[in-house]
Amino acid sequence: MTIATEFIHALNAHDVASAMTCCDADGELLLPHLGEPGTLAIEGTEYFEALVTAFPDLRIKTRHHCKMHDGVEVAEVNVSGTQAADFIGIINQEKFCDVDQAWRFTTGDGRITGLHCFWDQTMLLRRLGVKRLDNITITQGAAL
Amino acid sequence: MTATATTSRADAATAIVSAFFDAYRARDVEAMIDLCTDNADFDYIPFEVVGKQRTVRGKGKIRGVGKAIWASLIDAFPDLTNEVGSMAADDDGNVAVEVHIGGKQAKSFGALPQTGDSYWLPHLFVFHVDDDCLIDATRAYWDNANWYGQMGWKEVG
Repeated sequence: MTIATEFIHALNAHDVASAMTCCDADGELLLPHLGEPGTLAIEGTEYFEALVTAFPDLRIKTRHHCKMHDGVEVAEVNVSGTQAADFIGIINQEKFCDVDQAWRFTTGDGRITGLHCFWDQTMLLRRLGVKRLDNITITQGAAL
Repeated sequence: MTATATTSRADAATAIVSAFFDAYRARDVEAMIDLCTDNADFDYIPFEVVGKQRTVRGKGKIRGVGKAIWASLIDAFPDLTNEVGSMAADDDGNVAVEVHIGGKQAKSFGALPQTGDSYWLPHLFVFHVDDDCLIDATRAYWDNANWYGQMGWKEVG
């Protein structure tokens, strides 16, 4: 098991604290909706705690994983679950969603030193019933 | 650019993928395709155009849907360019590339109406290069919310 697969395994168990023990606290985190880079310790903990809380049946299925040279690992994952609470500003409509994502890890000394996540936020919003990017709390249901 | 290949297989795969982005930067679709096998797979994960009757996805073959998407993207963004940020490879022909792609819009593209605005968007590409040093698969990821936001488009799609 690599450090990246260990991280994903912990998230699959909804154990964010264990996932974060795989990471350097100062490691850089890039998430599509953040805009600016954050840190694994602060924004990472906040985001993944929000994810496992909002999607109690969260499942992360690895479709393809490769361990590159120089400590780079790439995991192409499908993240799925049923929304049960508001999530990064998106109100809960109890919709199921699944989104294909790519996570690029940089590692060193057995730790994750950076994580860049790539996914399409419009795909996530669409699955969760959001219509417009400038007001993600206005949903398809509310507009009817 | 940070090249990370450390073996001959990884070096060769990295060189082919670098050439691919050079050709893309030159907006030479035929040269891009010449670097791929005849039956190479193509999957632009976020490419999802939701219609009333069906949803069109960017999945198929490089010489089919891939060629069509690249040609129409270059047609819509005539100055389309890219800047490779990092490239990493393994010994099995996999190459991961972080790259920014962008340009100024001249025509509508997919859900995006013609605005004349420009965009500059991070992508992650995952390629597989075969034993003959040709690309036989590519998958790409990016965030349409970021793209649409830069183009002033507010619909989710």
